[in-house]
Amino acid sequence: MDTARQLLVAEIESGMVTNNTIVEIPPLHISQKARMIAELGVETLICGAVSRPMEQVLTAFGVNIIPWIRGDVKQVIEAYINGAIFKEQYILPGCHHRSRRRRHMSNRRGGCRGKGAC
Amino acid sequence: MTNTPDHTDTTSIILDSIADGVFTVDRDWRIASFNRAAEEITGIPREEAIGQRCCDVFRASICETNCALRETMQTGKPVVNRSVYIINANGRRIPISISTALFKDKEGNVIGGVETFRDLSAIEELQRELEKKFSFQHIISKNSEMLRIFDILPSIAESDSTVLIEGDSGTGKELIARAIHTLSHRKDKPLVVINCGALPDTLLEAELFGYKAGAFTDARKDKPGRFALAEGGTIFLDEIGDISPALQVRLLRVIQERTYEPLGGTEPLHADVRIVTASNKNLHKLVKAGKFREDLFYRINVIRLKLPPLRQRKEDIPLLINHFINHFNTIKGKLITDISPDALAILMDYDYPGNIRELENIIEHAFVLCRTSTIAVHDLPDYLRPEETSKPIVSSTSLNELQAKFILDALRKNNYNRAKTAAALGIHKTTLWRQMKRLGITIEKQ
Repeated sequence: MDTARQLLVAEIESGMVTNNTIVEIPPLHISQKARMIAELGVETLICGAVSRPMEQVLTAFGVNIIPWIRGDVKQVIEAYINGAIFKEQYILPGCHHRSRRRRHMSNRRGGCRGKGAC
Repeated sequence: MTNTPDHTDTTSIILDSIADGVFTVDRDWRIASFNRAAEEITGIPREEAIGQRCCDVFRASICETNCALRETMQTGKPVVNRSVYIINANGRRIPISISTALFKDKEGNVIGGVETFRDLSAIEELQRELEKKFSFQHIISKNSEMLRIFDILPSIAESDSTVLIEGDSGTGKELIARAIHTLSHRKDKPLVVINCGALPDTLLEAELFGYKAGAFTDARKDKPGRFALAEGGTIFLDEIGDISPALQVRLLRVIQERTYEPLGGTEPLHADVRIVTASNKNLHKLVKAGKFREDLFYRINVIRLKLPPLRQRKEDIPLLINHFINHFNTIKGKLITDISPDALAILMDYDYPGNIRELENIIEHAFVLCRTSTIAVHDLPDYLRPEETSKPIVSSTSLNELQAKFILDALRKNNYNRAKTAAALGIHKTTLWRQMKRLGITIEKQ
């Protein structure tokens, strides 16, 4: 996520993707990048590896982050909608312990509505 | 009978015994082997890494845009010691240097690639410690002359005396003035900086001393001068060699009597201000030429600091480059990690008429052009890049002129140190001295 150049922003309503937009991310400082993502209205960010500072800044900007995820973007979004995002096939190698913690946190928040980005 | 391990076992034992991370990939970019050090550096157990796509395991800053292994697969050329960083399983950024090579079968067919990587965390930590050691109040240097200034600066700051800082443009005179202010008991009061060379004389007078309402047309209300704004603190008068004789007299009075009168004012005002001055000109020469008042020179020359130009402190260039890379990474949001040896050699060889400011500009230029994690020669400004073909020797140039130029270049590269220059040229220092005498080269002239 720290060096990602593109973001797919998906609008989800009633379990359906209603709109997809690809957003180019310029090379920005992590705080500027996090602000940009927050200003896009992203509520949940699904990404691969992310550094702790980047994760903390995104969280501070109010973005719910689901990191350490891999796979084809469409399948990942479907898995997210269906609540299957934490299946082993979507978790990056060596990151199961981190995703388990996330799963508990996500369950507490519940549901998957609004604007998400991959 | 002893059991001899087979070839595969032997290879994996050897790989596991080394401190560098090593992994191999097949032609589909799936990890085929992953040694013990790779497990430790990435935080990913071997059994989870094997069979996975390398970018899912390695997660390096270059995976998406500039994969070194892909480059090697495409060009057949190895990548050696490229600095990047990875994000380990705990979300920590780990700086590493990577090298790549092709993996071929017995027939010479490419069957994959091998990547070795070294954890640079400890080296980075040591570099940071070194930077702290060679950094003083945001000034970075390991030059002996600069370190001597760092040593005496706290005492100078405490003294409250007037200071004259001499040095070429871009040598960091303002940073020294700021350090003097920050280290003094006046640190909680303002530091006011004014460049005397940037304003015309009449405006400078009004700026320094302020004016009263009605002092001149458009002076509708009182305006405090910089001396008033710096009350209790420090005023830094940069390029003091540029002020007019009339203003020199007024300034002399402030320094002597600690009083001044705003334009149009009748009552003298008291100034509790420490004065730090700077000039890129040799004030003593200006005094001799009758362009600067001798009495003012002696008043401001209570403590004189002379900052060496960057060409005389070339040992600082790598430190400064590293500092500017970190600085621009922060403000420009890039992740450049280092500079290539070729580019560094060019920067070490250059004379920097614009000093540290010029080096900063060069690195900023390189940041705009650099698309990888390492600043390369082609990222440097045109005027620094070596020409494609060597210049033809002008026929009128005599052998003596060529020798003199060669020796002068060598002297310049070695900071005008004759012993070092002689060693670099592979001749005895007395031979160098003899040649310099024969060719009329004197170091003082440089």
